[in-house]
Amino acid sequence: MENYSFRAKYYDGKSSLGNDAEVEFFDDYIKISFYNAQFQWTFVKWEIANITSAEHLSKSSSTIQYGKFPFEYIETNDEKCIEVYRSKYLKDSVFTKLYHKAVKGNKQLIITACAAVLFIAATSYFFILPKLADYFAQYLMAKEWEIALGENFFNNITKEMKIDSSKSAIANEFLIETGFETTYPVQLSIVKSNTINAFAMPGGHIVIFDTLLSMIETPEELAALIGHELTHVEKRHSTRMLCRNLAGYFFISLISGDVNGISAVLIENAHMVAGMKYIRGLEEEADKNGIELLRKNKLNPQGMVALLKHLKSVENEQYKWFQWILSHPLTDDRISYCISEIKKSNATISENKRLTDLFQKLKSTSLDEECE
Amino acid sequence: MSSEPTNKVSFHGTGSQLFGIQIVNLLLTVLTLGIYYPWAKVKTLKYMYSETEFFQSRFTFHGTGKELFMGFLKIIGIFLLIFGIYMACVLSGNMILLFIGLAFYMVSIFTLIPVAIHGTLRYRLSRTSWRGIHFGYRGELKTFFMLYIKGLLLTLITFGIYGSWFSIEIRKYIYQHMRFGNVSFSYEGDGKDFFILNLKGIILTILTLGIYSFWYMKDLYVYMINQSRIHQEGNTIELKSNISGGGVFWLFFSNSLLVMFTLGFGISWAIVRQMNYFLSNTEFIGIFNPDALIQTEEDYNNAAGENISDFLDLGAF
Repeated sequence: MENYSFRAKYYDGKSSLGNDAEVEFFDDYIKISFYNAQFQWTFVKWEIANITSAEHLSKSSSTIQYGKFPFEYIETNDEKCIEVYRSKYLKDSVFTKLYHKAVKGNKQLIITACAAVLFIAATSYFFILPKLADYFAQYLMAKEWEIALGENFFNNITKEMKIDSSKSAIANEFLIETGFETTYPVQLSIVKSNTINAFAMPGGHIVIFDTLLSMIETPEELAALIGHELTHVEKRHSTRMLCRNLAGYFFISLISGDVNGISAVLIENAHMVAGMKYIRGLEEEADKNGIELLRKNKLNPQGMVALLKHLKSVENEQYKWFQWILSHPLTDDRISYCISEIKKSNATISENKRLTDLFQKLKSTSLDEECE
Repeated sequence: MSSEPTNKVSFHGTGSQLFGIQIVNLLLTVLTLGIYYPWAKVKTLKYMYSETEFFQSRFTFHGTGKELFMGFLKIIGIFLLIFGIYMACVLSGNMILLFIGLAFYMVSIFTLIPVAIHGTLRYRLSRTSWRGIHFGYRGELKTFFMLYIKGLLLTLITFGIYGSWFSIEIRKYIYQHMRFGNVSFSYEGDGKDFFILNLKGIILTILTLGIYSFWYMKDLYVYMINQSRIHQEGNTIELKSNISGGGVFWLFFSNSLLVMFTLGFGISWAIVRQMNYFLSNTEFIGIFNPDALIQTEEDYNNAAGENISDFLDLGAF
């Protein structure tokens, strides 16, 4: 078989003056022949073992490089030479073959790669990563970390808020009196605000806005609210949410290095909608476990239903259309699953005088002066 | 080799070829949980270099995935340590510790920036060649570091005003210490001119609610290119960029749409369009002899700086 030969520019690694050369592939070496500076026809021999690279990532230019730094080097627009070189002297790795196919525009490979990337990215982002983050937050994260983190959040958030210390003190006594068991240093804070809201932070801080407190009419309702929020703390709901979000951001920042910010934002929004469904699951868990807490401590579980009915009375009708998006399940749904939860087993209810007294005290105490 | 303006640099890559490389890169990076990233980066760089033509010859990138990976291992410890100390201070909940942590973090990052720039220049330039002639960077880390810290402090003290002089100083130092065989470089920018350019850019950007920012970006780029000089055997070659504000605006706008409507997959085409636009609008004024370069630089294979740049997202090139 005749040896493959082609035209190329030869550079000796010492200067940029190229020589028009004739290159020929022999079995164990490459021969490069050219006119030297003295116009004599001369040649160099390249041992195959000392060739450092043979590339044609570019369609219109290929290079072969020889020896140690600074390299001798040929550059050619002969499209076939690298292919011949590789089949003659090298066993290409799977990777190299993949890239050569991809640069040549192999449709099957590119479509498969796109589909695989999208599939892996979507699966890890929507399923694997949230599961891992959730597992970490629920079982691996040390309680001390969680408490320190929650303390930090609480200090930051309450800088902007007015805490009613005397009402908060009574509320904490109320909490102890409910008998709700917890493994966290739970601390209730009553905060002045026009918003009807209450929330729990990682590690034990529970914040109740005074507008919501003023709507509550019985000690059972307040116990139900505390039971709900306590479940968020005990079951690490906020911590889990936080870890899921952080994992999501981490993933996006990883791929946005290669893709870009805009598609990251699109994925982020998709994640938010998926995340809402997850939060609704947590809320339902908090409602049901709240009922369980009431029942265990001989308090009337109907308190939860009464609380939800109060929320319902102030709920804006228009929310109805966004049920799938909203984080809390629609209040009607909550009321109905709470009723069926209560029906599941009978509750022994015993009157707790001290709890009622504390509740009355909480309702009758006027706001701290500094909160006025 | 006339002294008339000549357009001797051009880009020949295509979006589809680059996409082919990047999609395989992405797939392998994802499958290896990110470990493949250094090798992927090398593939992209090799392609981009091999499609960039200067006086009928292409550039070559000689770096390897292994070099980048080793560099990555060297610096990951440093970053873990910095983040670890910072997070420990944040989680402690103590206000004083929090401030100390934040200060430590900021100082660490700011001192790493000059180290990263220096390392990237040394590695990247040493790994770049054209017709077998290697680029090189002869700057000294200690001198560059002091120059950088001095400039940074003066910039802080003057509420940013010195920033214009600072970036010109840095650029001058870098250009002076760059080599391309026996060809050298210099930067002729002036702090005062650059300050006026920045001041005008910022004021007009605010007044036009951001629209002028494209013209400002154009001015910054043109000032970087047009003040650059190439020196070869006593001849000075000037560079000239002919890009326009409108051109930059259209490029940015159309590329954003291209990327947005393809969920990011259009990024390969956007990169190629950008390279084409900037390179095809670059001219060389003066006598440059492409056959007269002589190899002068030494080998350098420490890619740690390149990796710090990646971490800090400096994107020096």
